[in-house]
Formats: sequence, structure tokens, C-alpha cells
Amino acid sequence: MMRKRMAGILLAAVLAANLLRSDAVSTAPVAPAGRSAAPVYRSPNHVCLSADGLKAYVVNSTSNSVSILDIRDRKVVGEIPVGERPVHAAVSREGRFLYVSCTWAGDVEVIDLAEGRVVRKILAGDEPYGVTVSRDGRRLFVANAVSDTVSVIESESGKTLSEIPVGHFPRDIAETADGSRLLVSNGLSRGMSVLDPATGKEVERRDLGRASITRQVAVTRDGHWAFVAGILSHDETPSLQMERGWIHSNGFSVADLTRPGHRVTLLLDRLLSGAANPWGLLLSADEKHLYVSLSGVHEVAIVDVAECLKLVAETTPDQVKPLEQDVEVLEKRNIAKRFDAGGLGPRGMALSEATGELLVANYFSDSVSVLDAATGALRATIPLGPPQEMSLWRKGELLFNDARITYQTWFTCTSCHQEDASVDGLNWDLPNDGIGNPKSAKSLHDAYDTAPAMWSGIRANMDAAIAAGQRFQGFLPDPANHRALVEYLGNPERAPNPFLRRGAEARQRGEQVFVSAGCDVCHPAPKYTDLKLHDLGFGTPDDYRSRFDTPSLREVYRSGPWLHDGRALTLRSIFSDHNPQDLHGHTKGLTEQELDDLVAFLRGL
Amino acid sequence: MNRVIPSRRAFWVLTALFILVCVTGAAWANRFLRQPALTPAIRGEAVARKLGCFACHGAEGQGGIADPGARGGKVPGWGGPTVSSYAKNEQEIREWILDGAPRRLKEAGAAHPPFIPMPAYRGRLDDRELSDLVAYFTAVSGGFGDVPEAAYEGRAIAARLGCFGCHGPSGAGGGPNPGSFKGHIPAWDGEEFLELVRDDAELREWILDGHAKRLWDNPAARHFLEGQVVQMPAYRPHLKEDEVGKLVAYIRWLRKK
Ligand code: HEC
Ligand code: HEC
Repeated sequence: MMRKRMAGILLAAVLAANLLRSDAVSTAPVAPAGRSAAPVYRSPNHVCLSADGLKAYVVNSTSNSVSILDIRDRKVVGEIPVGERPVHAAVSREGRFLYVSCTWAGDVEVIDLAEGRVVRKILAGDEPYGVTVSRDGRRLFVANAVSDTVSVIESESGKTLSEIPVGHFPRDIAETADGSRLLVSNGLSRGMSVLDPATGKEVERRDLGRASITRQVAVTRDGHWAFVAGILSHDETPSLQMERGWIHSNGFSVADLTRPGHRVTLLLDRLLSGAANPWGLLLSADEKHLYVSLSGVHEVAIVDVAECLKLVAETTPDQVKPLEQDVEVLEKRNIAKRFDAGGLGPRGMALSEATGELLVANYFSDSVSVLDAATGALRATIPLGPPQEMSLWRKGELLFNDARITYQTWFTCTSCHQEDASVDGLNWDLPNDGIGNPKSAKSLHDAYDTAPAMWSGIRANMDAAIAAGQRFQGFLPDPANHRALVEYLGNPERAPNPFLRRGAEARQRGEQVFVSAGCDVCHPAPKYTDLKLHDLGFGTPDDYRSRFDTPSLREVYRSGPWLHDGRALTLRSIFSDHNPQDLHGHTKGLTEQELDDLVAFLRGL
Repeated sequence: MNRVIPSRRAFWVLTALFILVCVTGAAWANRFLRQPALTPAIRGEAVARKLGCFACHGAEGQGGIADPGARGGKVPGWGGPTVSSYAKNEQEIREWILDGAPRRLKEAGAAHPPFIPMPAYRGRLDDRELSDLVAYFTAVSGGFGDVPEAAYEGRAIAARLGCFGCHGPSGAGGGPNPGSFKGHIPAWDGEEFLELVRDDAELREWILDGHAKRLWDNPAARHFLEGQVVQMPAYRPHLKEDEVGKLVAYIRWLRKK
């Protein structure tokens, strides 16, 4: 903790010093606690524009800073330190403030762009991710990924006006032009939340079919059409063949907001090359083009919106499914084209109408690339700092996010484990333990010290699982890749647990319940697993085994849905609904208070 | 039609054959009628009976009487899944028996002391009784430690098909069976098993056909097989091939332990 803070102060000092020199591009990297020898990467996750469209603000998620670019000069003109793990930002209407969501710091930090520093920190929910400024500029909408809520905040005072429950792991928010609706992409629920900000209610959960890990969302000015980028996950099918996108395909969904329930999903893949992991998504001001960054294949797709909407309009309900299985639909019809992004790991984007250029934040290249918005041609690449060699860990992180290690680039490890090696909330029927027994994707944060791996314990340890994972992706394990992946997954990065910020007493009482219910027998600290398989009656007729590997409870607050087949949608229901024979700890007869305390304790692990 | 009268020679041959059958039959009977040594688990069951464990934990520890003070509402049984949240290892079972609770729980302080307390038996049983009792408990619960996957699934199949009802918990030896080789239903271990089951092939025959072909073909042995009151069922119609393999793996694992 102390070291982290020291590192933060040092970084701030370095950045401030650099700002004073006029030619400054921040240079000296500072090591974060944990991985001491590693250089600090910037890992730009998002980029947005100044009101005049001539400056870009780049959100550097791992250097805890925002870089300021002069778009025409193609260079960095400043860098402002912000709180831990910033991921997204939005500029205020008049262009004076930049609101930066800092997931790990747990706040939205307000940069006064004239002063070049953070002037206020606004508390939102847990792990604020997407931040959007209302059209009238008076409110901020913040997607709280861990709270599963959207906060409506008065921008002037920073006061929370309401906190609206949405789906699981909300990521991004778009407001309709008339301000009557908010559209929220839910990273771990298969639906887009439609909110009425006036009443503070979710008015519809628009089903998105097999969409998974949805990211950015945009809406046309007339409030008619919404677009949301995402993966299409075929978890309904045994994961046997990836050709033609039968494990994952990739694209975006279009929803007609005037027709409840309407949705058409279109894929940006090609027959022989998937468009892994759509991330950023934005509409041009004239609404002629839709841009989608494909983070796993390092490309950007440009979609002809008129043609796209024509196809959507003529799609009858019975054609929705066959259409979303056509991996080359947009290419065949010449509706979308894919271009090299000009860097690795393209994520957030911004479109400068002033220069006619698309700016792309390239997470792994520590750069912003500048593409011709009309032709997709690469015009420039702006490095955010001096070139740095990738550490082994960083190489592992890249591979984990990189579809080039998958046959025909259909998907990446993150297609099931998100960019942080956690979960996608889906049950997958992997063939490694027999077909017909789907199981919930496990977080990989605990794989390194809790062998065996997988629910059925089918892999002896993480090393074997990583080797098997590479084969699963269609290639023989490559020794160099293997080493990097082992280094990456062997040193998992854990977000600070937001639940530790409150409720210490409940957690303490909960620990008593934990022990008296016998939970600690199989989940002993510090790993919270006895590394053994147990038979607690969880097996279903589909399962080939009666026993399952005891999962670690570290970070259990963010690894839901829970139990081997994800049957428990809340931590509480593990005990209230899914322990009928009182075998999974003796939790029968726990009072409501005791259950609350137990859950509080678990969330703090 | 000519009536065939047996010749003198034929008479002697038949007599010799008869004597041979009697002798081998007697040999069989002798081998099988010896009083078998009781397994520790069987002795342990007697200890449990004597100490009154079943009064609270239910017959054969299969689930106990009501305990209105306890959260679960009853005294816990000794089945493996139940035990897994009460005891980490065999040592803690000993602590339950001797001290009424393992040290781990005593130190943590019970949030919910049961209304009917588990008695502390220290001083009420000697070392041999304790180890027999633990052997019985282990047989009922399926035991601790790392049971390989196939063996574990074999155990689950055996439990589902009711094998333990006849052969005792974990096949430790069953109840009386008048007219059988041994006078009781045999265990899946020990000397008597070796006599009845020579190898995996015979084990499969027992399970699938209810007898080993070698014994079935022997007239004297067949006499017992057919005459005993409780018959070993032929499970062929109720078992898939991989399930037989798992049962065999389980019985083999039990014997290796
Ligand atoms: C007076 C009733 C009573 C008798 C007699 C009794 N027990 Fe218990 N036993 C209990 C209760 C009640 C518990 C649960 C205690 C708790 O939850 O703290 C228990 C728990 C246990 C446990 C741990 C939980 C489980 O079921 O796995 C074991 C092992 C155990 N007893 C073994 C024995 C043995 C062996 C005997 C005989 C020597 C015996 N008990 C006799 C009431 C009894
Ligand atoms: C209805 C009671 C009963 C059931 C149920 C039963 N058995 Fe048996 N089993 C017997 C009898 C009786 C014998 C024959 C003993 C003899 O001939 O002396 C036997 C013999 C055996 C033998 C060979 C002898 C030995 O040492 O045990 C095996 C192995 C065996 N059974 C396995 C099983 C399996 C596995 C199951 C469950 C799938 C099972 N039995 C279910 C009654 C039963």
C-alpha cells in the first residue's frame, strides 16, 4: 500500500516536472509495487477529444495518467496524473473539464483542463467504468462495474442523484439526444439496459441473444437506433470447432429503440479470419459511418451505416438467428471494411470532425494511431512515451488478449476471461472433461497456486492448463508464448477489493458464521481452498463426475455467477437456495442477519 | 428297445466319481465354513453400538435424531458429504469422539452450540476400540484422503445400487446369510474375498452375473450359490460398461488401501 502510494507520488512528481519543460514527453517510467523491475506502460484504454476537436485526451490505464495530444502536430503536449487504473473519460460540454473514471481508485476524477490537474474527486459506485456527460451538461452518468448500477450525478456538485440497478458489470453508457433514455452495455449480462434517467428505473432489458462481453454503445441522434459492440459466444454448443465462429464470432448488435425487444446482430468476421473482440464503437457526426475497434485482431472496422440499417430493416424476426451465424455477411455485402489499427490492442476511439481523422488508443503499443476516417488509411502513430521493451509479463498479457495465437483469429483468451483474466459469466461445454456437461468459466487469478485446474480438476496445474489452452486455440504450445503466459497468469493482478472499504463489523461477524458453518474446512485461509475435490450433491444428471474442485474464494465478489454450473446468481443464493441438503457447509437455519454477515465476509475475501 | 444295464465297471467309475465329488465338496465346505476374521470396521460397528452412537446419529450413522437447537435441525449423519464440513481429516474425527469437538472448533468458539451435545468419550474406550470405531466411521463416510476419480465414482455407483446394504459400509462385510459359504455376506477385502474373487475378470463376473463362472461350474460351490438365502443380484441390465470399470476400480482401490 505504502509502496504504491510512494510510486504514485513519484509518478506525479515526474509528470509535473515534465509538464514544465515545453518539449516534454514524459519519459521516466516508475515501477508499480508488485512487479518491481517492470517498466511502467501507459496502456491507453480510451481517447476523447477537446471541444474544438484539435486536442485528444488519452486515458492511460496503467500509468494512472491522462496524456494530452495535439492532433495536428501529432505529439504529446502534456500528461496529467490521475487516480489508480483510469479507463474511460468524457469532456464536459463547454470543454473545460475532463471526467476520468478511475476503477481502482473508485472515483471519477475531474480534471480542470485549463489548470492541468485534478480539481475534484467524485465518489460513484464500485469500480466506475464508463462515464458519459448528459447532453445538457448538467449530469454525469457513470457505469459502476462491480456495483451493477449506473449513478446519475450532478456534475456541478458531484452529488449522486440516483443509482439505478442495471445488468451485471455495466461498461458503457449512451444517452439519447432528447435525454429520455440511457443505453447501458452490460459486460456480463446478455442484455442492454434501457434506463429512464428521470424516474431512475430500468425500463427494458433489451435481449442481445448470444452477445457477451459487450462494450461500447452508441445511439443515432433521432433516438431510433442503438449500436453495441460485443462478442457472440456460442456457449450453447460444445466448444469443438472454431471455424465459422462456432465458438466465438464478433460484431455488433443493432436495436430499434422504437420496437421493444427488437435486435439484429451483425458479424464483422470473415470466412477465414475472425474479428476478435470488438471494443470501441462510435458513430460519425453525420451518422454515415460506424467505427468498431477489433481489439484482438488489431484492426478497426468501418461500417456503412445506411446499408447496415437497410439490412437490419429488411431482417424479419425469423432471419435474426441465421443472420447472426453468417460470419461474412458484412464483408460479402460490402457493408463493412476492416483496416489495420496502426497499433496493438486498439480499444477506445475518437473521431475528430475537425481533421477528418479517427484516433485509436492502442493499449499494447502505448500509442494513439491516426487513421483517415473516410479511407481507413494510417496517417500517423503518436507514441505516448519513448519506446519500451515488453517485459515477459507484458508479453503474456498481450498474448492473452491477442487473437493471433488462435486459429483463424476467432477469439482470444479474453473472449471467455475478459481482459483481466477473470470470468465471462457463461457456462462452457469444453471437451476436456467430456461433452454435455457445461461449466462456468473460472477466473484464472487463482490458477497459479490452487492446482488442480478446471472444475473437474482435469488439468494437473496451471502449466498444464496453459498448454492445453494453446491447443484449444488451435496451435501447438509455443515455448516462448508458453513462458510469457505462465509469467502473466502466475502473477495475477488483482483489483483492490472495494468491499474492504466498508462494513468491517459485518465481515467480522460473518467470519464467525463462516467457521461455525464449517466453510473453513474446505475453504481454509489463506487460499480459501483445500485444493481437493468434494462431492456435495452439486452434480447434475449431465455431469460425469460427482466431485468438483474446491474453488478459491479470493475475489469471490467478482467471480459470479457461482457454483460449477453458475446456478447461483447471487452469493446469498448459494446458501439460501442451492444448499437443500445442508451439505455445502451447515447453513440451514442461518438467520437473515447471519446470511448477510456471511455474504459480507465472503465479499471481503 | 434294449434296457441298458450298467456294468460292474461303470458302477465303480460312478462310485469313484461320487467319492471325488464328496471329497472336493467337503474341501470347499471346509474352506468356506471357517469362521472369518472380523474386519476392524465390523468390530468398530459393535463398538459404536455399545457406546450408543446410533442413538443420536441414526442407525449405522445414516442420519440422526432431531436436534431442535442445532441449525440443521438434526444430529448430523456420518455420510462423506456431511462429514466434509465437520472434519478436515481423520485426526479431527478422533477429536470429535474423544473430546466432543475438534480443537479447531473449540478454539473458534461455537456460534451455535447444539441442543443435544456430542458426548466426549475420552476414558470410555480403549485404543483398539477407538481405532476400530474410526475404521467403521471411515467405512461409513467413505474416508478421507485422495480417492482417485474412477474409484470415487465407483463408490457413488455402489451407493446408488445399494451394494453397501448387503456388503456393509464400503464393502466392509455384511450381515448373516444362512446357507451361504460363509454364513454371512462377504466383504470386499480380506481372505474371503481372495477365495471368491481371483482377479478382475472374476470380479466383473460377480457383478454382472451374480457369481463367478469358476464357482458356478463347480457342483459343490454351485450348491451354496443357489442355496443361500440372500443371492448376489446379477447387475448386467443395470450397469453401463464404464460403470462396471468404475466399480472394479473402487473395489481395487479399497483393497490397496
Ligand atoms: C447424545 C447424542 C450423541 C451421541 C450419543 C453421539 N453423538 Fe456424535 N454428535 C452429536 C451431535 C449433536 C453432533 C454435532 C455437534 C455439533 O454440531 O457441534 C455430533 C457430531 C459428531 C461427529 C462430527 C459430525 C459428523 O456427524 O460427522 C462425529 C464424527 C461424531 N459425532 C461421532 C460420534 C461417535 C463415533 C459416537 C459414538 C461413540 C457419537 N458421535 C455419539 C451427538 C451425539
Ligand atoms: C441383495 C444383497 C446383495 C447386493 C445388493 C449386492 N450383493 Fe454382492 N453378494 C451378495 C451375496 C449373497 C454374495 C455371494 C456371497 C457368497 O456366495 O458367499 C455376493 C458376492 C459378491 C462379490 C464376491 C464376493 C465378495 O467377497 O464380496 C462381489 C465382488 C460383490 N458381491 C459385489 C457386489 C457389488 C459391486 C454390488 C453392487 C453393485 C453388490 N455386490 C450388491 C449379496 C449382494
